[in-house]
Amino acid sequence: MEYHAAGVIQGAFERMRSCVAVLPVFFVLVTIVFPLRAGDTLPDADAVKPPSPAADEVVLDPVPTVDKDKEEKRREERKKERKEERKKKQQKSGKGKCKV
Amino acid sequence: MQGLIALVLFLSPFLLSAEEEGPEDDITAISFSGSVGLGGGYESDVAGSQGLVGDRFGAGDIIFDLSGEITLFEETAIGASFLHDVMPAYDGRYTRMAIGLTADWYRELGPVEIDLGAAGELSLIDRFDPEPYVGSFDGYAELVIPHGETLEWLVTLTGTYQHGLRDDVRYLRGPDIFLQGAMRWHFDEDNGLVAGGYRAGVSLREEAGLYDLAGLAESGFTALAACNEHFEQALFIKASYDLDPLSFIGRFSAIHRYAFQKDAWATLSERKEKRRIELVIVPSLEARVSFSDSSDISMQYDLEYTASTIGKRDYYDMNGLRHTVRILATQYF
Repeated sequence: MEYHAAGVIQGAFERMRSCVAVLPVFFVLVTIVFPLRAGDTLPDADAVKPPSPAADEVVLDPVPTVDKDKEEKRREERKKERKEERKKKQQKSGKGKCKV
Repeated sequence: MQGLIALVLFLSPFLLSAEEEGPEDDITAISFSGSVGLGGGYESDVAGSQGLVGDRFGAGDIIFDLSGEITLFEETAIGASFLHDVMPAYDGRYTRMAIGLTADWYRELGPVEIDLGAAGELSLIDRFDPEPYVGSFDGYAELVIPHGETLEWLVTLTGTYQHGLRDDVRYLRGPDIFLQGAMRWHFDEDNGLVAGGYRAGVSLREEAGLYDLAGLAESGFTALAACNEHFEQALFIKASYDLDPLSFIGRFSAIHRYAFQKDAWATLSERKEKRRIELVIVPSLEARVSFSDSSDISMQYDLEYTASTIGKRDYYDMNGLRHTVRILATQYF
C-alpha cells in the first residue's frame, strides 16, 4: 500500500468528518451566547472618563487609529463582500457537478 | 419557507420587546435591511459546469434574487435569502432555486474585531418538477486586525459541509476546511481598495463512479473511480475604486488543486490511472452604476481557465475556458 504525507493528511481529515457535524451546534451557541455575554461586558456610557494629562506631562504621539465612521463603512463593505461571495456560491453550487 | 416563518415567529416576542425598551445610548436595538435583484447572463460552457459528457455550448439564464436581514444591537444579523436561476437550455432541467438562512455576529475586542457566522442552504433543481439537489452548511470565524489608518490584516477559518441529496449527486458529500490570510489597503479617503491573500485547505468528497458522470457509460467506458478528495491552495487579489456614481472592481485568483489519490478508469481495451492536478486562473471585471444609495446595476465578466492533467485522452476533458457575463439590477431597502 502506498504510504505518503498526502495519505496521512487524508486519514486525519477522514476522522475529522464527524467533528464537522458539530459545527452547526457550535455556531448556534456562538450566535446566541456571545451577544448575551456581550451585554454584560459592554462599557458603561456613564463610566468616569480617564483624567486628561497634566500640562507638564510628556504625551507620546498616539498611534493613528481609524475613526468610527470609517470603521463602520469598512465593516459594511466586508459584510457586503461576504454576501456577494455567498450569492456566487449559491449560483454555482446548485448548478451542477462542479466536481467530477 | 416554513422554517423561515417559524424562525420569525420564534424571534418576534424578543424583537418586539427589544423595540419597546428603546435604545438607551446610540446602539440601535433592531434594524431591517434587504435587497431584491433581477438580472440575467450568459455562460459559454454549460455542459462543463453540469458535469455532462459532450460538446461545449453556451446558454443564457435569468436570475431573481431576494434577501432580507434583521440586525440586533448592531452585533448580530439573522438573514434569509432566495435565489431563482431560470435556465431555459436543456428544457429547463438545470433551473435552480436556492433557499438559505444566515447568522452573522461581530464584536470588537480592543483594537481587534472578531466576526463569526454560519449559513445553511438548500438548493432545488428542475424547472417543472423541482426536487432537493444539494444541502450545505458553512461557518466562518474571522479576525480583523487594523494596522494604522489604512491597513487591515484578516485571518479567516472556514468550514463547509455539503450533502448531495439527489441520486446523481449523492457522492458529493463531505467537508471543506480552509484557512486564509489576507491584507486590505484602503487609499484615497477609502474610495480605493487593494486586497490580496492566500488560502489553503482540503476538500473531501466521496469517490465518483461510472454512472455519476452522465453519458460516460454510453461512451464506451466500463469503470471509473474518480477521487474527489484534494488539497487546494489559492492566491487572490482584488482592486476596486469608487468614482461616484461609478465603481470599478477587478479580481484575479490562481487556484491549485492536488488530488490525494489517482483516478482509475477502464474501457474494453485498456485500463488507466492518473492523478488529477489542476491549475485554475480566474480573472474578473465588474462595473457598477449607482443611481442612488439604494439602487445599482452591476455588469460583470468572469473568465475561468482550467489546466488539468485529466484531458482529451482520458475519461473526461477537464481543460478549457469558460466565459460568464452577467448584468444584475439591485434595489436595497
